[in-house]
Amino acid sequence: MKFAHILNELGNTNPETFEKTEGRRSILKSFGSKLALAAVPLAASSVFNKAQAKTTDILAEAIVFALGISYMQAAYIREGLAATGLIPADAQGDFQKMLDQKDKHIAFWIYYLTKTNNTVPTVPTYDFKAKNALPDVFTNYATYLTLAHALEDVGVRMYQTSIKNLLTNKAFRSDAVNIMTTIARHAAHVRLLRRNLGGTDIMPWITGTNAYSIVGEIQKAYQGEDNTKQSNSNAEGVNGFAISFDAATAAFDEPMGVADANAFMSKFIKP
Amino acid sequence: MKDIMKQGAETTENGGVSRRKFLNYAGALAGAGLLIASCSKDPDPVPSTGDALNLGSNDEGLLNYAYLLQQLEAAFYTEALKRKFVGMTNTEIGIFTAIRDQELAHREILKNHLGTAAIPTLETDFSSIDFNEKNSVYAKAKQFEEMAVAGLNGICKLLIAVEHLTLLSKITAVDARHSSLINDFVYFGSFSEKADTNGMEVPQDPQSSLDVTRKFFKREISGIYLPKY
Repeated sequence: MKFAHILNELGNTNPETFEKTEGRRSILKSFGSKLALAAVPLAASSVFNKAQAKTTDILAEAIVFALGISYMQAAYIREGLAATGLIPADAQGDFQKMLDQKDKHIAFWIYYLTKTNNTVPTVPTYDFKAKNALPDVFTNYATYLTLAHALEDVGVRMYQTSIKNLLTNKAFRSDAVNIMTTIARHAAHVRLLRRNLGGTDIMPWITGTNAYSIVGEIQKAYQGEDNTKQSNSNAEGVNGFAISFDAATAAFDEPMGVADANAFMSKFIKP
Repeated sequence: MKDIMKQGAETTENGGVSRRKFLNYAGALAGAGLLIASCSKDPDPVPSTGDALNLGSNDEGLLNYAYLLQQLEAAFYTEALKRKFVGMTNTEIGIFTAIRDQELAHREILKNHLGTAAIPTLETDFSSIDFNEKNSVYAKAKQFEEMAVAGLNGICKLLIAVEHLTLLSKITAVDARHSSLINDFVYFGSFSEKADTNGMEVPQDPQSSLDVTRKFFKREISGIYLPKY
């Protein structure tokens, strides 16, 4: 996907709706301090955003981090829809719906980054075959769905990190939460599509670190998803209830930090 | 199995839920709520919530409301599996069981997280649900999951402490997965049909959310001290 395309998508949205909640712009600006950056080490990744290294606005960085995976998700679906014979006719509408919503997420964040004089990151050039680790990603629908749910699951997880880092701004934090649950809906649907294709018992939620793939590049999406400790308890068998390891891990999506996110995304980005 | 997962449950959506409806007294008591907000515990709050269960104020109240939502969901799937609607397939039993266990995990983790501040387990009122009837069960599953995600997202907007926010984002993400699946069961492809013009989930403020949630509990529940948008 070229950057120009996203700008075109901007034309399809109504910027007035972005203004529905007060307080985003002023607060975003007031947080441009180096102090905040030092306190919460969410440095923008050099992998997907070289130009952003000088950013000192912690809120803007949290948004840029989220944008990184939204860019990637949209590019992947766009490329999938363009691949002749890949996505069956009865599923194309579903992917188009998801793409439309992702383009809106992207347009929303770009609008606010621009409005607050922050640099909008450029869209990287992607290599979804990951140096031929996934040679049939655009010719084999099952492979396509497997990377698709990995990207959606990583999206949920990366947005959780952004939500944490947007704590000080109620409006942006709320936006990130509301985008995250939309991505979780996409993730569940893609997993259902994969299940309906047969040959796997994949469920709409993440179970342990199961990637449903032997490809290491995809497995990186699930690092840390086997966590069962939540708050002050172990969710497995919590309070004497028969909660299995699978249920305990499935019940909670885990935030993905910068290092793990970059380790995953870098495999699909051309240097 | 493949066919069943694709099959629509042909339920009709419950159109009776008004997300914009606020409690009449919410505005009038907003000042009182702010006053109380500085106390972490209010053993004898003024005005009194009478016999109604008081969810509390601040993050504690918000977490209790999240706990209430998870109580509702866990109780619903537990009952649905006990009663099993006519024609419930093994796949459906498997799915409902998995969701029930995840809701139980949410409920118990929130209970432990709240510690002594947790509200008691409240008795549900499912008299409006015909558990023998597939459409009735799916319609309520759809409503409860959508309600939970919208309610939890509203709570996430208001929480102060980052550890509470982190825990609830982990939970609402998975409830959104449940909601996506139930929606797809009801009408395949409707996984994110309620997103707004920005492709975002539409959150619900605790006051109007509770207005619907309370209908499914026998005891009166008061959220007058909950933080407001």
